[in-house]
Amino acid sequence: MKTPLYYLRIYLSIVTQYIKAKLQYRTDFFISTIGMIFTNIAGIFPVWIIFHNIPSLHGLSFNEMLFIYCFSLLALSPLQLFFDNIWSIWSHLLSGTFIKYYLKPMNVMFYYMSEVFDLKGLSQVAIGIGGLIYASNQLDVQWTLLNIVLLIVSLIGASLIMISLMILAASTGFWIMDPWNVISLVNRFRDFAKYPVSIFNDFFKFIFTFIIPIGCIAFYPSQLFLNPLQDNEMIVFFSPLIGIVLFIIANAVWNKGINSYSGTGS
Amino acid sequence: MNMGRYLVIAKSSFMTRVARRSTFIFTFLGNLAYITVIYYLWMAVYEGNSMLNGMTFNQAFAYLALASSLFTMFQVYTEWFMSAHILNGDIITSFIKPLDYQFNKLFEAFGAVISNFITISIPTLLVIIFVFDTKIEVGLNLAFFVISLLMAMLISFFIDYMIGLCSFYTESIWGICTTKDVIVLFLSGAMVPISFFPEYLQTICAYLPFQAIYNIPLTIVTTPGLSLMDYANALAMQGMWVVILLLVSRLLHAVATRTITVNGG
Repeated sequence: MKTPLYYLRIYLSIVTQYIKAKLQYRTDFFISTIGMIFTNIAGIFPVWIIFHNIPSLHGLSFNEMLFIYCFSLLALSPLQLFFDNIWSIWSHLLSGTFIKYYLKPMNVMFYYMSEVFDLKGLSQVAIGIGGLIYASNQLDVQWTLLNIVLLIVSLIGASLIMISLMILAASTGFWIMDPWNVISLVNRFRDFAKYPVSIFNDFFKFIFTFIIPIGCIAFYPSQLFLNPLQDNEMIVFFSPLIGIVLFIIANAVWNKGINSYSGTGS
Repeated sequence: MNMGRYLVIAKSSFMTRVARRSTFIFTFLGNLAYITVIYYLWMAVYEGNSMLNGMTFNQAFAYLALASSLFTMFQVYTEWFMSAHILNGDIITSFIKPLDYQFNKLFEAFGAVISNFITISIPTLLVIIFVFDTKIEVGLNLAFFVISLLMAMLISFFIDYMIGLCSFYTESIWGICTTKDVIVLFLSGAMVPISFFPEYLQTICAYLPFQAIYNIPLTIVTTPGLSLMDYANALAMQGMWVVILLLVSRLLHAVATRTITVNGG
């Protein structure tokens, strides 16, 4: 019987070996981390510049925008840390090496994703937490026990959204062979998570809430902490659910995909 | 120098890029999404202001939307291809050819830029003009814009080329390329027009080559009523950077290739 505990044990042993191997290349870790830090600081830079020119953006202050941005960094971290192998799937599908993931008695997606643990992503977690603490101090957000539980639950739900979208993009590879372009397109949406959905007109509000729910990655869930609880719209409470539903769909599509992928025949 | 052989390289690079049609469609869709988002973002920025830092909403939007279109046009991955070839040793086959390595790469990049221009930038431009109803002045500025674009392409290429040379020293090219992309995008004004920057950042940017890639051509095309003197100054500034970066990159090339070791086999 494969319990979650069994998977956790396997994951830890695979990842330990991976990290040992990676630590052979310290300069690479150092340079990649710098790249990651630059990318993360870059994300807030345009907002910071904009706020040099105007006092508030559609009713939001700079600190509120910073809070939403750092929330999005944290919500996108699990994707970066645990699912980075998505970017290599094209080479496995084209060369046929993907077939090896069918040959172990465990979940294919788990086995495939467990092969990479993205060390440089840890800097994103650090920046996210640091920025969130700074912004909530400036905004007087009270971190009661209830709020901390809410934060963790909403972060988990939110992180599933981008993970699911990326898995859906990667799954197209089982039919079209090279999903690189689809993955890069979906990846571009992750940059939009930091913007308030309230700036869009009704049509795009609907799209970014229900069709490509990037608004549920950071904007809606962070309203839970920025506004008094009772002032929020219903969608704010439902956004973690959207992540779970999307993940169930993505998992189903992935499973359909691995059943129809036929390898390369050699 | 025999130009003919370099033009063949440009042409074959063009044909290789054009063959991958799905790339264009997905890059174009990504551009559309990005342009939509910045449209609404900057509408929000201009809420209650008709003019910020001497730019109207229409100018700021045209500037940023064109910047995204230029960014995908200049994105030809010179540094990634160079590093792949340096790391696996294939670079040696380029060195033994009777071609200058840098010009070889330059014309490859040029072919790719042209194919990006036709397949991604033009459709994006049409959407910017017709769907978002953005006014772009038609006149002398367009002629200077084209010259300015060519020099911007050269500057962008020389920077990519110098980054590519880093692979002679390190294998961790991801971090270096990402850092470069971020620095170029910001300090060039591609994310936010440079006139929105705080005073001290504007001064720093003025002394760096990055603003010559995006800010100069975009200012030329979006600002109405520039004098001939303004155009001449802008182009001279770009020309200066082209010469400086050409010399620096060739010097670095000479230094870097001395360290090369390729295993036989």
